[in-house]
Amino acid sequence: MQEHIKKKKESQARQIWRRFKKNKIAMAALVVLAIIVLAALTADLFWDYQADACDINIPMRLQKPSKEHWLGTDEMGRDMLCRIVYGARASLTVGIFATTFALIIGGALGAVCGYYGGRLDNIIMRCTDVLLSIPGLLLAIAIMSAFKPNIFYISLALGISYISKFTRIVRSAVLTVREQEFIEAARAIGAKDRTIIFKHVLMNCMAPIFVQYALAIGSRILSVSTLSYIGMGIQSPTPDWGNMLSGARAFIVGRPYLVLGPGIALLLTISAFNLIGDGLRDAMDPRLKK
Amino acid sequence: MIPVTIAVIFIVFLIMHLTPGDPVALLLGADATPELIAETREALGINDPFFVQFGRYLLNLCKGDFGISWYTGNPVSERLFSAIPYTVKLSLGAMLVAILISVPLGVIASVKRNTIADYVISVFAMIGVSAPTFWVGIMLMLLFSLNLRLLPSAFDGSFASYILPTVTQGFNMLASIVRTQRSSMLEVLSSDYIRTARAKGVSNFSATYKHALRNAVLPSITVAGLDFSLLVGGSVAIETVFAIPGVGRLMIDNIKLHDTPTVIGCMVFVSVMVSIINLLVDILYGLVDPRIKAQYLRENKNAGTHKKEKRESGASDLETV
Repeated sequence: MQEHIKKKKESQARQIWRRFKKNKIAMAALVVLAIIVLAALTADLFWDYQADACDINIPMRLQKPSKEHWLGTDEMGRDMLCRIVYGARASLTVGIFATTFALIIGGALGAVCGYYGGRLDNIIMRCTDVLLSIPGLLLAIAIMSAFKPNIFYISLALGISYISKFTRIVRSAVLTVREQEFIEAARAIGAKDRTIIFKHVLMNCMAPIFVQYALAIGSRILSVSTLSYIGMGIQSPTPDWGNMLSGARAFIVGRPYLVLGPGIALLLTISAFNLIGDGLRDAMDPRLKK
Repeated sequence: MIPVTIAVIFIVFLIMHLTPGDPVALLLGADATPELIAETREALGINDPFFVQFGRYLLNLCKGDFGISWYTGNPVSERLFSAIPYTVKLSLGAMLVAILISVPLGVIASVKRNTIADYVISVFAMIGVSAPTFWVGIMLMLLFSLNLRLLPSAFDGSFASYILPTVTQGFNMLASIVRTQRSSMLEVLSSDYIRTARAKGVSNFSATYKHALRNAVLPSITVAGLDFSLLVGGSVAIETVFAIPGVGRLMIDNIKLHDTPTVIGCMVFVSVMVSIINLLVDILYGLVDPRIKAQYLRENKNAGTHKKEKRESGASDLETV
């Protein structure tokens, strides 16, 4: 009996973490992601960003993998491994910035729509319908045509094209919470709308938001690499997996390993985010609670 | 559908309007005189206020006129119509490939739940959704065209040259359909009427593939329809990799050239195509599921919301753009 009561007191976050830990695949994804983040953060200890990742060194171009250059060098004579590691920085930064931006704007719109309903809800939802009918990548491309391709604007463009998704998800989550008794209780004791939305409503629909957040980062990284590949995203010499692939594309006949590295890096990062998102979804599913 | 298209045109118009730099100066080159630039601006109507340009474009569009390409001087519709067949064939082919592969895979995963087959399929689908399409395209090209020499690496419009791009794009769509099919199949397989069918002596095969599959395929159709917009967006990358002269490629090339009428034409086409596919999915729904048709016939007001709920629950399964 004593133990049972103790278990009940465990906070929700801990419960979720406990269930998440049991999911071996999601934990493996978390470890992979931690390694990638760590590599991106500590890259400066091994290489000099400007000299090794950006500067052109023609005599060293297209070297095969060797002791000095584990993955060979690219068409400008830069070490591939070094550029892949620095590429993680660009991808992760854009992925996290863009998703956070979309979450803040989309989340606020969704919360307002779900909580107040009525005409405002109608107008905002029609706007998201319009935005959803433009393929996200094309919208981002169109926006990028108006701005300089730097990390800030790329994040903005990719974030804007994801706002409507978050608006919908937050709205439907808020709708499920809105009519419950504790919201009525909060209203009854005279809580302000703002307090109710932020403290009571949003706090109780964190699960779908978190899941979507993890999945969205993966999808934004995929989009930024596509943008860079077609030349509308991060521009060379700044290393990014997308523009590295587009540079290596011309040499696939003799040097297929050049397209292998950045591609596998992308695959690992994006699937890590997707698997973590799935793991979170399972861990937060109240039906699976024991 | 029409208001949505108008809104899409408005957004694209606004974005192109905000683009810094003078497109005319770019078009005419460095040795153009200021007078010539001013004249051309007047002739192209760029000096007019934003809403005048927008209104004029809409009026012309009603007559089927997409304007004149600033860069080549040809009508945009001409350029667009030469590009559309490639993109339509590619997208529909990819959708077909995705459905034909993923529905059986989803069924296998659900019938053999928690076996190695199930795990292999889910890993396969996870790779499909996580790998960038352009990279998968390059790898497939490397394997099948350059090493095995089975398929042409250069795109020439022949059937063989469509195989790699459609498979690449279909592979990307796989995951969401496989998952939806698997979970809806599991739900149906544990339902009462399947037990009834088994009880009255229907063979296992027939219960799974005739009774359950027909009822479980509906969410997959929805997801495939919803993913179509993703597919069209992704076609930009695929068309770049395989050098297919489709709408995506046309749009990218002309964004770089600041050819606004062509870019807007491409966006209009894409958004209309996405709306049409969504409409078709709705119609298909009625054809596949007699319950929904009956609901429409009864003119039950709940029919619309019921369907919407279903679509949203299907969409939230896996959303990756």
